Amino acid sequence: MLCQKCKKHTATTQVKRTINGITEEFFLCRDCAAEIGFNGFINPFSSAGFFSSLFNDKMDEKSLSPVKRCPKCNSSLSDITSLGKVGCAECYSVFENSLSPLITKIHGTNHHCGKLSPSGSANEEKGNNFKTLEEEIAELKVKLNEAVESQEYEQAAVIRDKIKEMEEGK
Amino acid sequence: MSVKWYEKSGDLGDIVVSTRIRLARNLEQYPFPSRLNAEQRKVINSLFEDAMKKGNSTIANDFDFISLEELNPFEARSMAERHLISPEFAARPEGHGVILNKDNSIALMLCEEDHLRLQVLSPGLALNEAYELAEKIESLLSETLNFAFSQRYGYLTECPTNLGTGLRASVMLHLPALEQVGGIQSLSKTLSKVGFTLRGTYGENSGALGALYQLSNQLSLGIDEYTALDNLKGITHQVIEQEKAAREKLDEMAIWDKVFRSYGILKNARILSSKEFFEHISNIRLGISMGIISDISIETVNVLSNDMQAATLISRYDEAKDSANRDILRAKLVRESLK
Ligand SMILES: [Zn+2]
Ligand SMILES: [Zn+2]
Repeated sequence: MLCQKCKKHTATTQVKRTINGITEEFFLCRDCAAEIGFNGFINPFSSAGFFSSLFNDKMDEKSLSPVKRCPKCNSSLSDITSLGKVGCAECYSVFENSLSPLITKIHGTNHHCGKLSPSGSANEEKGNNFKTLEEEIAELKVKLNEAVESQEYEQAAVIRDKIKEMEEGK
Repeated sequence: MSVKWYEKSGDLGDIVVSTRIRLARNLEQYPFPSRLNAEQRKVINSLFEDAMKKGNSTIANDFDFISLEELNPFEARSMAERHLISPEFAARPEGHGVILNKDNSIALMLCEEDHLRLQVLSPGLALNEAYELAEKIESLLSETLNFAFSQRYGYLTECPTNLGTGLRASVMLHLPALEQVGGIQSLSKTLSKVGFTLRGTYGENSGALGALYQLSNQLSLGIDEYTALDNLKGITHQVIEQEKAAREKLDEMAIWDKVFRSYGILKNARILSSKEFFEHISNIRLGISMGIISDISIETVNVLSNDMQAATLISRYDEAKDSANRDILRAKLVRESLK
């Protein structure tokens, strides 16, 4: 295929441009792609395509009904998967169960280590949104031991029932 | 005009052209940029503009907010050519803006893939220094802005590939000998297995324009900032060693010939396309690095490599709009600068 700009050289670069949801495709030779400048670059930080490709081979759209939506940005999981982009911060907790395995697949882990947000680190409640069931159970077991050791048996019984309930609900 | 960051040379500057640090951050209370319209983006832009101004006033005075809507398209593309903003961002000016400091080493891209893409650029290899500067500005902003953060995933980003530290660190490397001995592909394969990406800065994978390659970290979750930087630094040194080893393998006379041919062309050509320019300036950089050429500095090579790009020329010279005139102008400017 010949370059669509100079119509002289072989097109080697496929350039996609999306404006207002309409995607146009161009095929350019290397020179024209470079000359046009911005279209020819590879953006080292653009990763949305990679992310949505992970979804495509993982997700079965039919299994997603009924449609759950993020209360804050109104995104559904299929909005997120088709765009390859998460809607808002809240989506990460709303769709935790679907996103967590993908995050693990991308990064090999799903736990942050590094700089803590000055507001986020102090905000325990926010952190709780992202605990797995296993982690919550483990925490409750610690509390159960503490309750038994300090002979608060009524409290211990409540915690024990809660653990049982959570383990059955897994 | 003030001296720009890229007009200088830094540590290992003959092979490491530049260092770039990027931090991704989002405001907790707003949907991520792909769910915002131009009006909403402007609201967010002004929140960042205010936050910068409210901070330390000596820093604030160094920064200007630039609305892409007010630039002509060539000026925006020129910013992309100089790596201040992404090409995609330059192509979509509506409601987009960037906060830029005077020497262009710090750029806050607003409402690109994330609400904030904070970039620090530095000549040569300077990962820790660049990161510390980025971190300082991020901390300043977080005094007034609440960034979306979770205990588990760290800083929350529109694309999960950037979760955690939100840090992408990269170095631009000049690897002409590795390219010539055909070592790039296998190297890039090996690097991707250990969490790094190596790819051409310009053009597609097969042969990068001017033998310039971008080496960056892939992972941002489960690894803290300084470990990620140390890893990248270690890998960078290994790649430099490989490039040097590849240079040893090349025929010495052939290198001298190639370098001096390019020297002759750049000093004498009357018409210079951008592709040709990049090929020859690459040989000049190699020649300086190997001690073959001593009357041209790395700084001059850096200035030319930025300034001779198409949109940058057009944004500065009216006559450069016509591509034939542009090639003549490019040849003239290069000749003058190498005199
Ligand atoms: Zn062409
Ligand atoms: Zn949401």
